[in-house]
Amino acid sequence: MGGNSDGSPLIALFLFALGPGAGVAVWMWIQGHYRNRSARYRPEEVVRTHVVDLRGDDALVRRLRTRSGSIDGGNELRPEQRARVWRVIEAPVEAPPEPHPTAEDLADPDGGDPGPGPA
Amino acid sequence: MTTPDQGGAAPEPGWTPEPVPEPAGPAENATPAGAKDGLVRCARCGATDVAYRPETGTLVCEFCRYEWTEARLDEAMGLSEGIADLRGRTLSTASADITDDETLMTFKCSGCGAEVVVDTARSLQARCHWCKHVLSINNRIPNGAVPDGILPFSVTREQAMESISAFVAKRKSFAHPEFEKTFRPENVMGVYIPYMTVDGKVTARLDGVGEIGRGRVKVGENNYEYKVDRYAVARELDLEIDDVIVETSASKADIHATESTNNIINSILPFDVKNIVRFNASFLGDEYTSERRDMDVDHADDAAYAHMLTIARGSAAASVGRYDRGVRWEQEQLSVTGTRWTSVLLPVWLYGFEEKGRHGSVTHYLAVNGRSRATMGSVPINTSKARRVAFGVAAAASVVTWPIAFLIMRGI
Repeated sequence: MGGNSDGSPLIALFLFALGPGAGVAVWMWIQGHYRNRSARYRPEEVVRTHVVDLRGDDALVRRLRTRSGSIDGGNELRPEQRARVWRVIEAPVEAPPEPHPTAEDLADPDGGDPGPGPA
Repeated sequence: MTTPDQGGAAPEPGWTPEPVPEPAGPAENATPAGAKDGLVRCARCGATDVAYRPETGTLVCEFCRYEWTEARLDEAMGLSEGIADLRGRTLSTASADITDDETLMTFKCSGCGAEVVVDTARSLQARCHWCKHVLSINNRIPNGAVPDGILPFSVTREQAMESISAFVAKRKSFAHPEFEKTFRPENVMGVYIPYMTVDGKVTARLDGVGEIGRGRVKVGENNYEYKVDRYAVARELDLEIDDVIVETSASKADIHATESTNNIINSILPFDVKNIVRFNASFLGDEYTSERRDMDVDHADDAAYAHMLTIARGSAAASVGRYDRGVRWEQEQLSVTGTRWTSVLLPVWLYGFEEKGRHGSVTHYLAVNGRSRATMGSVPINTSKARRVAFGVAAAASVVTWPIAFLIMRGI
């Protein structure tokens, strides 16, 4: 493969890919414009929410070098996409306590409701 | 953060467990009394022919033209208040579990004594064949058809037709020929679809990884290596959420369904739910149909909680702005302190088209929000035409770019 400058092979590859890429882009545009598969309710934008408290805890884990231009699997801009692990905990609500029997109830069994029993 | 299901240290010998309190059932937020069932008469003249007038949002007597409306549910039930105090589940009267799936209900006409059947799967009114009075069902019945509230249509049929016509007009070039041939905007239908509005007091915990770029160094001819500081990121938010909306018709709830484009109906949310009024079947009249709720709170809560996590993620977004390479949330947890559920009917103008294919059929919807006029749709595609055009564009571009690429490769 020849080339009279350092970037020539990359430019050539780009030009080869440009035609098929344009076809794919047209196909994707038609799908998006006609079918609207990604249209959805956006509660994060339209639901009235009061943030009572927001706490944060960030800690430097390590310094590294990478070839990737952005974080792998970044999802902070797609709030509707659930994280790899998610769960919901519903706090149980305690039943109201049974009413305590009064001294009167205990002392006078005939005074209250006799309840079911043998005739 | 410790959670109830993470367990703990083994109990010491002789340790006696504390009695675990029994969870209480859901509390009830009673729906205020509305119109009675059966014959609903005009307060002024006693006629039972009552119509809904979308221009004014009022009910009008067809005989004496007396106009009135129902109480606003938000004020009558305090639905904007007390979110901070919610504990456990609070259900409105009509959001209680469905206990009977029978949709045909028989009523005795109090005008003439005849028996009148109402198909509650489609409407909540019927006219007595004998005395011509209109019978209404306005209060909770066991099959879930009657909601607490209703948001009456304010967008007229003509406006809805105009909106879907404009939507389709912009999508004609690649529309399916059968769709184009049969498209009649006048076939749009006014449908009241069942939803629940959900208020919630929740705490959300998000855990993930964030990265900040610290510059880059050139490696080899055209590659770079990025210097990165990687952080463990955690956020915890206490939230009070007012009026998340969730579908409660099983046929519409799955927005990823392959057989119908339910996401279209989902996307025209939200509605101005603060204007919901106490349900009265006269809002349906002859022009609109209604769908019956067939999902209980236990079936709809997953969707509501997912929306609440989405809201939490959205609320946390601004606090992670410093991570210029992005954040990957890996774990999300929602602790629900309390929720409040209200069953409502919301107005949608709906146009459907069934596309039959080799692998089954797909129902495409065009939907117009019956209040805001927000419009969305799925227009079936003439796939062979779209393929030809995409291929033609690819070929035309390649005719120009490939010779240049060959010349570059040969070093000219």
